[in-house]
Amino acid sequence: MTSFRFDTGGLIDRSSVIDFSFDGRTLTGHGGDTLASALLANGQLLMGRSFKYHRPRSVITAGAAEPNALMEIGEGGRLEPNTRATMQEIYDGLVAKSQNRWPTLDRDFGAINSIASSLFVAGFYYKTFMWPKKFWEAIYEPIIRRAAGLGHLSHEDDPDRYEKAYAHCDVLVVGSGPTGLMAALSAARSGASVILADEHASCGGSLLREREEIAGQPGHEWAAGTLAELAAMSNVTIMARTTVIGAYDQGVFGALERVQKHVAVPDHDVPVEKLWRIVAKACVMATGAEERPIVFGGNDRPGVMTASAMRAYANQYAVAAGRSACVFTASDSGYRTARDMKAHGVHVEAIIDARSDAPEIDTDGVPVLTGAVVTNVDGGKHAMKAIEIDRGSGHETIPCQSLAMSGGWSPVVHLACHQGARPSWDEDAYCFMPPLNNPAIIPAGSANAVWSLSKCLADGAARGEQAAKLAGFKTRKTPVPKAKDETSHTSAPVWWVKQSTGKPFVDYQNDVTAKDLPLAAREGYDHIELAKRYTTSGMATDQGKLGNVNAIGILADATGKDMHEIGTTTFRPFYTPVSFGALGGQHVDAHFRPVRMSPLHNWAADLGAEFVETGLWYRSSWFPRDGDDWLAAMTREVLNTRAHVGLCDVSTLGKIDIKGKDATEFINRLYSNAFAKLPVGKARYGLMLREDGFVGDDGTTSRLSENHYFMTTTTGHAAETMRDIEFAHQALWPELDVQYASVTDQWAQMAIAGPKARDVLAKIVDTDLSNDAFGFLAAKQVRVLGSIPAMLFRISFSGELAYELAVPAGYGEAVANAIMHAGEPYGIGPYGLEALSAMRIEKGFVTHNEINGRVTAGDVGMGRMLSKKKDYIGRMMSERDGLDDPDREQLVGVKPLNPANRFRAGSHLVNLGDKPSLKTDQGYVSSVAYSPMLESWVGLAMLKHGRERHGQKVMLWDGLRDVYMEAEVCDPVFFDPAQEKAHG
Amino acid sequence: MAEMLTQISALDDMIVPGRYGRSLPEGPGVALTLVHPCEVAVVIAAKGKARALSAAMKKDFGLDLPGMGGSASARGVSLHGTAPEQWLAVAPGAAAGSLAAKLEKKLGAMAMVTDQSHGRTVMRLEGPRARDVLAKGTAVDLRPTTFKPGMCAATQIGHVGVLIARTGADSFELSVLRSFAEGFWQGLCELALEWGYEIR
Repeated sequence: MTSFRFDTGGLIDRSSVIDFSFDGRTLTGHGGDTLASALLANGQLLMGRSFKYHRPRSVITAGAAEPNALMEIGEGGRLEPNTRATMQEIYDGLVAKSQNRWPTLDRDFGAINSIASSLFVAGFYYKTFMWPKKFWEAIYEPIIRRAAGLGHLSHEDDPDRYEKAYAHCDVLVVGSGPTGLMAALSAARSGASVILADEHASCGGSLLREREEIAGQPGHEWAAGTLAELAAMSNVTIMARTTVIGAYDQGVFGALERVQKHVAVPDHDVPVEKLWRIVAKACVMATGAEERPIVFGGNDRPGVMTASAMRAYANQYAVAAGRSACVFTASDSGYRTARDMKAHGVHVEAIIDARSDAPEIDTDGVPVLTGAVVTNVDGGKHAMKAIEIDRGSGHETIPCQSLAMSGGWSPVVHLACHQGARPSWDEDAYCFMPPLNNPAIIPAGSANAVWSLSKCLADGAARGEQAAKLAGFKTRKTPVPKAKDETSHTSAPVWWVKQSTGKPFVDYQNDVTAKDLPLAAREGYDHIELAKRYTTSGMATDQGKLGNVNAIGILADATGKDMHEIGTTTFRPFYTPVSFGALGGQHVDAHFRPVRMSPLHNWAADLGAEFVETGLWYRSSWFPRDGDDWLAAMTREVLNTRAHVGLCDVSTLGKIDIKGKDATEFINRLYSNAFAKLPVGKARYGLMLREDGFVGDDGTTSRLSENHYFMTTTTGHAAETMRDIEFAHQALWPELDVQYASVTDQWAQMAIAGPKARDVLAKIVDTDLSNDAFGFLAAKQVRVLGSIPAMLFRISFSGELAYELAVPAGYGEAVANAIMHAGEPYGIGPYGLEALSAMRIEKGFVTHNEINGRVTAGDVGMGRMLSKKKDYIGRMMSERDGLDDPDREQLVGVKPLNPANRFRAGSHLVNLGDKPSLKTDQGYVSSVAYSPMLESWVGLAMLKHGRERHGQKVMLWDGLRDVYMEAEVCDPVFFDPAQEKAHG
Repeated sequence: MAEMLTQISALDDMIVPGRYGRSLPEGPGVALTLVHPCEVAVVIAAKGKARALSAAMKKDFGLDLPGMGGSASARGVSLHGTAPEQWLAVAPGAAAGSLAAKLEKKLGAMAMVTDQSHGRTVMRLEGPRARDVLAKGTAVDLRPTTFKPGMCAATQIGHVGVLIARTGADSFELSVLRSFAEGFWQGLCELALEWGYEIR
């Protein structure tokens, strides 16, 4: 237990004491702590086990790139695995558990892998678990998955709410370090609306973690003052705890706000996370730079971390990994760490500078060993003991409890690369520079390899102005505060300490070592994208934020190519992991998709209806009585309707009001059958083809007056038909004077069907319903109940004497109740979708079960509805060869030889004696119902040469249920083929 | 049976006045009101008749015909430009059937008028957080500098088409298709939980 908290210092609130638990042990921390800093303060250096070798690991970073300190946070449905301890704020009652260890973090059985590590090189699994082949899925993979897991899920429902939201601004500034603050300030002063987003709990970025001064103040104080100034401006929105996770087209950025991930009990009225889509005219990418680890033996031992992380823990959180430290550096960053640690009272043993040409820097007495490297780290799970170094004259040992490392800096270029551009290697700055393809994404500060504080402040101000100008604002030069520059020479990187005696890790999270990359190259996987897949370097939750550049360097070295030739892997959103909860947002449970309710929903519900989802609609499906099932209820409803009268809600049909001087011509071109001479007061069944000549939709259209039509479509295709109509008018025939509006929601529509339908309706409709006055296919605007404006149509989808009555939706329930009341003496009953469906199948009427996009008018027996006398949508293509092929499947009826044998839609038809196959297939069953009139299961089917085969027997094969059934082919009209009832 | 029936709103059994959601010291962030009964009609100009229509609207209704994305109000009628030469006319509280009838009578062959008084559900959302609530649903830039009072936008919230009209600095009129209204209302209420809301 070497890590500890300093007695003074840090930006933590020592007066607030917070209790939390780690692996069941209760610990305390302070306000302002992250889980990582609080664990260090409690002497808990060991924080996790590595993925493959189960090596003990501690933090390497103090930020978003952390590969090692991944924890399970929370319990039950709130449990979130793979949470970076460096980003998780502590709160009272926080429950954290380490991952990937068994039985405990301290005694992890899986660490045995480490002993056999020479076996587990890259490609081990691919090569080893190949034989026998079927063992992979059954045995090898499950075992490997269990051993190499990250965190676990609870499999319980997440009790919390997540939301999505949009924000719009002129300038988005990502990152609130010195660069971001100056950029926000200069953009905001121009009047531009500014959003300043930062992934950490407190804004200020590196200013919270470093000791450099600005304008004579400590950096964090200057940051606080600047933030206060920004907060006071009405055009600035500051979003802390918000990670900008992706840059998309048209200035859209994704951002994840962790609204309540830092509180003990989330307020259920407030989402725990908000996924933002921020639309910005310009973006200043002040995302900073990531310090690279150095690849040397034992660089993963607890106590080793990046130099900047060690400074951050000391300066912001007042913690250190050990009482003594060494620094291994190839950049000037290590010198700043030595200086700061010394100031905090940590004994700095030595600075080991890999550069033989290291600049002269005053170290206040700390010895500097130039041209030296660290080759191994001696330490256990809980403490580091010493490092082994090589100065070119053999190995030496320096005792120390912690080691800071700095391999140089990599700009955080992700947002500039998300739209496909790749960064390019800069030979002078020794880093990958952000691409500048999108002029609205402006890299600034260290994200653009501007290294010193004073230059970052100036660059931030200039880039903020540039962004505001791009957004159309006039800017004035923003004064830049003075800062004393820290030392920041750039030097050639050290990719790999080859004389390492311990295991040198490139990618911590995936346990990729330095020799894995040359191995990948030797085996032919030398392209960086292949090397990534072969070695797993750069995969998993951190996506190689720390290791990728080192991996590229090592691969370049191994292949004799330069950095630019190797290049990077693809940068894809998201920058850091995003929970599925946030991606789902508010669209869960009842709001997963919209629900459409019929105006007669309550009418049906009051009568005990069971509902069924059809598309977005909830439709009344059947009306159970005395606990009968759907089949009994449907049978009763059909028999009652056919014998007496029934009422059915058909409000979900698409309805379109069409008017205009050219309305007749318009409709005549939409339908394949003739509509030009439809008389006023008449309805007609119409067929619409798609442009490709296949049947698109059907419905009835009624001529209410000279230039006024009322069109109905099927429920399922209402939106598509409306869209097609819009297209036809806007793009094909803009010259036509026609107007149309969807009135689907305006009208409640009900079918009143059965021999007594006329008698019932006569009681509430103010018009003569006799056959002479209102015969089959009549259509008329009428009044019901004395004053309600309504539309009445004599159309029948049941084959009965039937009417459809449309009344304004808000009167629907009252009118339906009035009809039920008027119909009581005649034995009226409600009927649902099941009965409607059974009756239409008895009558051989088609729906989208039959007109499924692959059938022609001829296939369903409507060939004569293709007019020869006019042009219409789909005409040309309907005349294609093949669309009138006599071998095509045709609509028929099918009846099982045993009427009690239920069969299913989707069953295939084959000739008796044939084995079902693609070759022997004769067609398929499209719709099935139990016919109460025939007392038999019946179906509609599409059958090759079907119309010639009435009376023949076929084999019906249901492959899903392995059912074979003999059936007879018949006319699709099972009931009342002479249409006597509908005309009655 | 001769007297007119009462028009039932799609939200008939959903409106329970009261305070909901988080209780903040500054009071509820928004207030939600169902506008019912409310006369609604779609007006679409006949081909080549937009100019004549504009004059007739001015003369008979006192309305300056707005362009797409614009709104105008006079004498209890608002007109929202929803598409090129297409408007949604809204008249809260007008007599049943009166708006479409009057428009049809005055506009004659200049336009198609379709009664939508039962097909649309109109609601009002107002309060200091109204914009924030809507921003959880729509991609429309609702900042007062870009979406001013007198402007409207046809957009989607929770996959449901909605016409949003800004009626004031902190007030919006929303209209949705009747069949979607129940789910839309419930969804909107949930989006307002964060700041608390009042149903009036």
